[in-house]
Amino acid sequence: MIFLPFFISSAIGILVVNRLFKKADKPNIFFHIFLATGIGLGISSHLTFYSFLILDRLMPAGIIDVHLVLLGALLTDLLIRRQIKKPEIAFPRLTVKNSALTFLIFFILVLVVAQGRFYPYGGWDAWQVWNFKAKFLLLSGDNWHDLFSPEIWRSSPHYPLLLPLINVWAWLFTAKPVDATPLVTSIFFTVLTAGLLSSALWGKTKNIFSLLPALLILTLPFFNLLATTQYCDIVLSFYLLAALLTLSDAQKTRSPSFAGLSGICTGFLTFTKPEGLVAALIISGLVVALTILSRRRKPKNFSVIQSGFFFAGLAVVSLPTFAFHVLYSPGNQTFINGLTSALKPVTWQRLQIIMGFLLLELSSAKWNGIWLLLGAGLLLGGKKPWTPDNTLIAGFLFLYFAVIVAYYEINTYFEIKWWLSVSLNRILFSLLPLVLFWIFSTYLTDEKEKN
Amino acid sequence: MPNKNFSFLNIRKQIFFTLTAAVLILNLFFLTKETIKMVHIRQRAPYTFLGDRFRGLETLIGKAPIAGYYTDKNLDDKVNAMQLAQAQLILTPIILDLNNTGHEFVIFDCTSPAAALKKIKDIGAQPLKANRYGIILAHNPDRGTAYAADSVKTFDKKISRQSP
Repeated sequence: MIFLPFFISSAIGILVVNRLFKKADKPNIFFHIFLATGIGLGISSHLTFYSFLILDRLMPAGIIDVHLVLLGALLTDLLIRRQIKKPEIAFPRLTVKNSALTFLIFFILVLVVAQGRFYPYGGWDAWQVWNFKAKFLLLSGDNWHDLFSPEIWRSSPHYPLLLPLINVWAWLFTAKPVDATPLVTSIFFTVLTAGLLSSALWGKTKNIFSLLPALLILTLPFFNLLATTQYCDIVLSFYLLAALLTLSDAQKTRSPSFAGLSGICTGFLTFTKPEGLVAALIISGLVVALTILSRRRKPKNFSVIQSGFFFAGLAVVSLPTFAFHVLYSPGNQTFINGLTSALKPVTWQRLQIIMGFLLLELSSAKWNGIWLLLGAGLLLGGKKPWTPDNTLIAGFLFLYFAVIVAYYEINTYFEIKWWLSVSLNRILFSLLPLVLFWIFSTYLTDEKEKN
Repeated sequence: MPNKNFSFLNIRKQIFFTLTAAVLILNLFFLTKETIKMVHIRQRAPYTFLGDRFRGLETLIGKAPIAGYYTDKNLDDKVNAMQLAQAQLILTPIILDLNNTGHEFVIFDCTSPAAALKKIKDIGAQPLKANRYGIILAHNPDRGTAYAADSVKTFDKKISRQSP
């Protein structure tokens, strides 16, 4: 029963993504499944939120019914369009190398699940912020608005609700808050993120080494710890990766469907964490810039129609975020503008600490040298990581880092060393899959050209 | 004859993939080591959830949407902060209002039972239940019995009969 809601969401996601594409421009099957499962879980979270928004309470039967009706409608649509056919999957041949690789992946997945089970309740502040909210939304009845009361400021009531609502959706089938569900959600998103990363690389390069970045993150103990201990950072990481990969595909294929998908993923990103909202604003800005810049090019690599699809997807999926911020969020209680504050002003020393801490964190032993590897990859790649194919991701990373550093500098509410020590590693964690894609795609694309 | 595929880019690629293999081997080694270590730790002592110390209090608190949580412990200490967070998770949907003793129910999580009882006496509350972890639930009769479970209402009646 624990897994049933995940399968329903996954099926809805797969059918929705299928509906968006024509036969010719569909993404590869693996990418489709990983991306669509994440989108399906996002849809379930939003449908659960609409129960609170429209009916002002949790209506379990109503939410399940809407899911079933949606699933039925999508299946009927598929039957009408007669699109049911055997998917064309180019499975690798059964060789010793491929069998060994499959065994390695299976072994690593067992270790990932084992890691998650060591902390059945997740990280200690994961339940303070995320699992508490999920349980409260499930059990509080008419008092659910108390989730935003000042007495529980420790639970960051201004954080959006995508992850807690996925767990609430899953708990509707068990009728009580089963402890294993948040763990299953976090393992699901860990596998989805790794799968999305490798399937996107596979789609781009058709190279067996596309599996390497996924293996790198799934074997990194610190990554596993943060991914499976029920925080929202893995969810943020997934939607960030999905939004930029689909946007990059939209740019390459000139497909409005990919642009629309990117808008949808960016919309879900806004409902994950405040950092997700920042990332979504940067991505939207990049889409505007791409559209303006490509007007001078022939053929255009990002048309106004694509831009329209992106913003339509973003607008529809961002409605819960908008409602949340306007109607419920008490606002960030932990912000002091250091630019205007006389008591806690911004200082040059604070900036030095931020930059120093960033370097320290990137070279920290807990990352097992993965950031040093990526730094080396960037240097060894010469001009390749900066080619037009990669400028979108590179541009995003540069802007995101700039905003993050500026926020650490300007918001002087917290003592900076403590704040960096508890948050910077999570920001790097959520960016890691995207940076891995950026660097590995430059090397693996080159492999394909050679072949 | 020189290899046609030989180029500076190929060397850089080989260096990058060699480094990748090194990181992957390092990761696998540490992941396996970490997993074995954790299996041994969990075999020696099962996972302790501090929130378990608060289980059962919700039946006495009844339908009160909010309860006080008084502690004289230092919440900058991670274990104490964890205990509060886990208590909140276990008692959800009851909201715990930190160090506010003005509610109908107040949970006392103090450094010693004596310190808790002194504070309970100071605010004029009645201790309802204490457990082996030193957690005490107290009832403020001044705040009425609007939300209390029946057992608490009976308890409060007995107390008021005994009072002169």
